[in-house]
Amino acid sequence: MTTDAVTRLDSASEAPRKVGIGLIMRRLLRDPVAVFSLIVLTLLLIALLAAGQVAPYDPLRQNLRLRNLPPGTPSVEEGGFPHILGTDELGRDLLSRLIHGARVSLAVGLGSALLSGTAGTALGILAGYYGGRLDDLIMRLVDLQMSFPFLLLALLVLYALGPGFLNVILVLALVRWMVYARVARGLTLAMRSSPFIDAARVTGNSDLRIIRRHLLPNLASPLVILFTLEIAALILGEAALSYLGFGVQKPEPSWGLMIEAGKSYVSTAWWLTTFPGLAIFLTALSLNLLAASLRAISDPVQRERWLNAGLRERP
Amino acid sequence: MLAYLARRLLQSVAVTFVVLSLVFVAGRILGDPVRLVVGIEASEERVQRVREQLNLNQPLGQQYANFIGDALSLQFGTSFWQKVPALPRVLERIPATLTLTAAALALALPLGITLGALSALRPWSRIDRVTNVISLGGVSIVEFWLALMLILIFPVRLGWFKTSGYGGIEYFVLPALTLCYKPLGRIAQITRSAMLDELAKPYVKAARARGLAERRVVFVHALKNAAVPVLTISGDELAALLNGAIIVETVFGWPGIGRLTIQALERRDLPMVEATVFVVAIFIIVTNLLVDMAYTWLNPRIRFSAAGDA
Amino acid sequence: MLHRKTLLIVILLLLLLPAALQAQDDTVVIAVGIEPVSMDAWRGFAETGGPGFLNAVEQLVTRDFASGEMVPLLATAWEWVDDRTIQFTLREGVSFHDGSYFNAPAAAASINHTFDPENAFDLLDFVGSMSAEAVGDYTLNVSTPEPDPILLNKMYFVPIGSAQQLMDDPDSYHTNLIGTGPYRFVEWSSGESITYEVNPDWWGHGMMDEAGGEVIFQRAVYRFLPEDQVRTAAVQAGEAHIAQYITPEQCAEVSMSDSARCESAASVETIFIRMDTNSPMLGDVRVRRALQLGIDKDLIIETILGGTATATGQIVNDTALGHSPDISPYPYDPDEAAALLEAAAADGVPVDMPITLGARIAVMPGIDETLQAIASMWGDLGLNVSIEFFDPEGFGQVMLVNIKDVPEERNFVAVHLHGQELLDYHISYRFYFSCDGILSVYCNDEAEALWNAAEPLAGAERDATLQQLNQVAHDDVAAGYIGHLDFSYAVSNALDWSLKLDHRLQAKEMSPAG
Repeated sequence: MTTDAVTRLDSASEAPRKVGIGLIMRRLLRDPVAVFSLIVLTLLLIALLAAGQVAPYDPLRQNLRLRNLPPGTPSVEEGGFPHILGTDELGRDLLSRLIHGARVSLAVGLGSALLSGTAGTALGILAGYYGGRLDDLIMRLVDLQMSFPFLLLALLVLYALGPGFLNVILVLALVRWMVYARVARGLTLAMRSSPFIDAARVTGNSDLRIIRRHLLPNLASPLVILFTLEIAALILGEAALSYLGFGVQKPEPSWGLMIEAGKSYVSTAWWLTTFPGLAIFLTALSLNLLAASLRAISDPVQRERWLNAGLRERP
Repeated sequence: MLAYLARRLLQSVAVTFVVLSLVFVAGRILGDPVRLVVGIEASEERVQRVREQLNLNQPLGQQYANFIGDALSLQFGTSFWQKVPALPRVLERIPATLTLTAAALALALPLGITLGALSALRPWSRIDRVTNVISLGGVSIVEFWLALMLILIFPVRLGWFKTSGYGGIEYFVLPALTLCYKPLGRIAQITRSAMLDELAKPYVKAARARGLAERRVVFVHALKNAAVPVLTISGDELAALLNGAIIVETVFGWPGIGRLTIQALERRDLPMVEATVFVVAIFIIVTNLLVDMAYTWLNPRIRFSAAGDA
Repeated sequence: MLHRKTLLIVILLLLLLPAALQAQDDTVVIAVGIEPVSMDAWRGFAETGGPGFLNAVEQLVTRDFASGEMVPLLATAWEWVDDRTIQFTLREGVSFHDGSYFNAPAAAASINHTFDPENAFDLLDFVGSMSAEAVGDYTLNVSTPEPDPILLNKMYFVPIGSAQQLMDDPDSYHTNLIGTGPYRFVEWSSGESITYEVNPDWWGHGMMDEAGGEVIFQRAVYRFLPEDQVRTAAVQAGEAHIAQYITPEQCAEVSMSDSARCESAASVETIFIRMDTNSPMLGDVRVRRALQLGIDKDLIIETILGGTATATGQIVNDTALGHSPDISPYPYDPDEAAALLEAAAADGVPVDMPITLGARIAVMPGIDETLQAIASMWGDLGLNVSIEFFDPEGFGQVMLVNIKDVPEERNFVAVHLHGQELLDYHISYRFYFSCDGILSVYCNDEAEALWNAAEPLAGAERDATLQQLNQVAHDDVAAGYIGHLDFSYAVSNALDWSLKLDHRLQAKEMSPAG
């Protein structure tokens, strides 16, 4: 995925042609796949910002007598909100847990993506801009981490640090920074020798200024796409760590943990694992689809095709 | 060519060194291995004795030198947990992981490339969208959930294949299917974008102009060139497969190295963890070297020195 | 034409061959949750630590669950020589799988190795010290340092391994299980399974009653499947005959199928709640009582545990000496609990101290849910509770610690299982309540005196004193309890086997159905 972004973006970065935002938005809304992913992500955003207001029940309130109720069971309370997605192994409302779980899972995804994105981009630009020894050192480290299974690395560090919410964010950031470094370095390298950077240098701009004013804006769109993809990968990473018992700890409702908790009930209460599994799947899928659309928009060649695609298809 | 390979080999040695150092830091500096061996209730006297036995009373620098020396001579000591030398136990587990990842890759490569090529033929068409959702689905799926679902559907409901365990072909089907979906998705994506690049190139237009059959243009000429970037990522893909193997082996009771790693971590078995990481590192290095060789063979125009970068 | 037909048949045969090899009626397959640490013979004392080990190693005596009596196995007779020593008469004509003979010197060597303090095997902690001495070719004295009325019961937990092996190749003790049993150990495929196959030279062939079973399956395979759902699925799909430790929900589901059934039986395991009684908060008996009154045990048992437990107020069940019929579970009374906490708070007890409630991962089916339910009930009392799950080693570090080494501010509460296989409360007390107990975070001088008084006693006297001790501990809320636990198994209908109270999975007790 990530290398894909690089190859696509490398060729796209120079001389961006301006297309009106309006046209792109209109086109996006005509694309059913994009609309789908936008809807999913909007719902997530609502969950993230207003979980307390949206969720019908307290995600931690148990009622052992109402364990494993199937989806669509009406509430036992008079006029209570029905358990649309059923209840979990401790009688907690599954929908509410899913909504609050979005918070935890996205916090892990966003948090670690931001951390690793910042560090990785900074190191990548340094490597690309200054080159030489520094470049060598950073890129060897990148190669090393790239070729080593990141889950194993994360497990090793968590083994020493112990599990928990913050540790998971930290560790996931630690094992994914190199993805950004690689892209940022490649793009910086391509741009370093371009005329407009040369011009800026000749007019006496400091390195920091050149990086800030001229490099970063040009790196922004590919890095945003990469960031989108990484959130998806990190949410999945969190799920894997939770399954192995090294992730976020109970009773915190993270999606990965919810699947883990439901694994003994797969054959008797399928909804416990299916809905959080679906939530992760749809989130990751939407992020991936969005990234694909963004990529198409930022690439002039693809953009033309993408803009015209629907027109040609529908006579 | 030789010089290039020698350089890669040297790099690999450095990589192994860094990985081992990391394990050393995680195991010896962040935790106290002695307490893990003797348990918390042991007398201070016994702790001291074990500390000496394991040479853990020496200064850290000395310990580190010993550790690297032992690793180079393939001595990882006796497993705290299983009381047998750690390395042979880890090596025992290699074939299971190797065959599983190979099976997964054997499924993922042709399927992924076909899927990717198919969607590149008519970008943003319906076929493209469908294949895109399929391949992105692979990238987005939670593996252990998929595994449990497959077990319930196939062996339990339909009586096909085996739920778990290690053996003949019917044991392979479900773990390999689970494991292959993620790389399949990624390979399809890469193939698609590489194909799009190739199909836009002048030589394709020229071939078409010369009246070559479209099928031949796409599947022979463009695909062959598109194979280069696909191959480039298969090194990273291997790392990703091992990620998946940790999960898949745990669910299916597959006696591979991924499951062993989790067991060793749960038991805080430092020698076993060290040996596992070492073996995984070597495994990856060897495969990457092979990929490099295939890569240069496929694309002889590449300058070896440049291929070493990024 | 003929050629084609032949070819077709050959191809068909080739296709069917793997399937034919697969369907081995002479093999029993058992799915267990945990892979053993090593093949040390002594690990055969428990099924969880030594899956199927009793197929290969045998004890001097075993237990008849119909009568509750100890009955002969490798020993044919025994008598007490003095209050510290039992003299066993050993079975003749028995040999180990490595060809060496089973006799008194061999048995003595095996027992002494198992209890050698230098080896520090877990079994030594579990049953306490003992030593053996050969006084004749087939006469063996086993003795304890102090008088021990339940020494005979303890011998049920001491598997006898090959002495020849210890002498010739001591390192192989960890990887090669050599005993006298009906099956010999063939292979341990790390991460996968243990395989045993029939021992044609077993002493017990044709002696069903004395040997406790007969060999019908030629091979027995114990597969390690960490996921209970997958173990159950393996039985449902006909790949395994028995799935060990499944959840109540899985049990109910299996019961509805035609191909398999669910077997449950009471175990000697008790779910108990150990509190750091040296903390400023949990040191107060009112707080400890409030915690117990705040747990709705019946609800947890009825729902999470699916009825597979019996609520209790003591750590041993009614099969154990010292079990008191007068002790009932702490009732569920949140109002009283709140009042007690208030009273304690009024006296300056810091009832708002954070409590860490912990357990070992997968210690029993439903532990995750049980722990969260308790935390939630205590939260309702206004207590500050967080939960934590530990891997086996991590749990050992917080659990295997005496009160003297526990920092007062730890305020840790563990939910754990205690299995009183020796059926004697005195031993449970030693572990969990005595002032120096290796797992004890409790110390009460009055109770300690009673405990010491009970040690040399036997019979009714011992029972009475232990019951008194049990009552004292109960009144002081030395620990809390949920219930005595049942364990459930998915069993294929193709297998004839019934579960016994010791929850051992011995192939000699199994046969194909029909």
